[in-house]
Amino acid sequence: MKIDKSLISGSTTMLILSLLAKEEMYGYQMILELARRSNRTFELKEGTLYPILHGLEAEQLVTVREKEADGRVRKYYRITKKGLKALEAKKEEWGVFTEQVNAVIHGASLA
Amino acid sequence: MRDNFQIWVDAVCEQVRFWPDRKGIAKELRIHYEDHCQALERLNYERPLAEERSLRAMGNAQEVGRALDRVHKPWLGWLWEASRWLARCLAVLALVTLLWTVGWESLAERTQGELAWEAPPAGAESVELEHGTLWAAPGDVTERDGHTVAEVRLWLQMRDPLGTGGYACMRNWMFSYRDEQGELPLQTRDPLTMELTPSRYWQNMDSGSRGWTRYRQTVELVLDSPPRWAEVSYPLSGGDWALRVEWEAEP
Repeated sequence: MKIDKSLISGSTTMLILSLLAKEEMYGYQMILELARRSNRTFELKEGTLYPILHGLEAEQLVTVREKEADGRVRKYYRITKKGLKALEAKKEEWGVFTEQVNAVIHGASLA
Repeated sequence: MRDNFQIWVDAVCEQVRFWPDRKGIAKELRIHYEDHCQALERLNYERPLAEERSLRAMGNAQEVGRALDRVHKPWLGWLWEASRWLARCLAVLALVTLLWTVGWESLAERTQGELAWEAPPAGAESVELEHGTLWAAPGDVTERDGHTVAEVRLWLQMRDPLGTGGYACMRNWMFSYRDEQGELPLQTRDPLTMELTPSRYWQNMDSGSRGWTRYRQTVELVLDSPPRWAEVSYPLSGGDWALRVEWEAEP
């Protein structure tokens, strides 16, 4: 099932940081990994990945280094300590958000 | 002729106002595109089809470019560039100032002198002399040919040059050594060996405004038994001083 693009856009930072939490990756690798882990539900327009990555770099949530592999010098992104903290905060925020969305759509009430 | 991807990436870069970053962005996007093409070719796609699919997957060039422009802010980029240039200019200015005031030869001489200089140990006794400072510390004690050889180590740093041709040289200084049995006569010290290591740095020698000459000297005292202490003095200097060096007793 394809998901509405606007639903994904708010959580792309969290998704990308999650991908990088375990290992450093280059851009195309992230696209493949995101598609694989989401069973092809999250398929970003590939060019839009880079503004997000560059923004994360500017915020010092990731660092970049160039590494040669298969005859190509690629930029590898690695999450920083600050990035890991930001990821934890975003996961918590996401937990609260989904809980409340579920409460609304399933008709639950705190009252 | 520009290929379709080049047209796409040029359209992306046109949106990025901070032009020094465009080259890096274009390179990264091209590598991504090539990765995708190669992955499709491994799935037996023909090259033209692989290129078409890969390009389509990149998205709208204007949207990607505008999003990149929001991250690569021109004022921030130029501020960063300016700070890098400022840092470079300051480094060059500092170097030029240093060479202007000290001079290249003096700087090299001084660095060589500093590297050759081994500072006296923290506990070394010292005395302030008219033109410099003298330190003394005990050295090794060894047995040689039935005698005890005790090292006395001396350091001298001259503050002022002593005039043309008059560099102070410890070799010419008539130090006197005495222990608990009294002054060590010259024959007792024979054979007396001295190892002298000078390091000099003077700028404006004529005016004598700055610099130093440093000497390190090791004197071997040949004694009949291991020493406990000795005093070094220089009676001819007219100063009433003596530096005491003490050797630790054998356990």
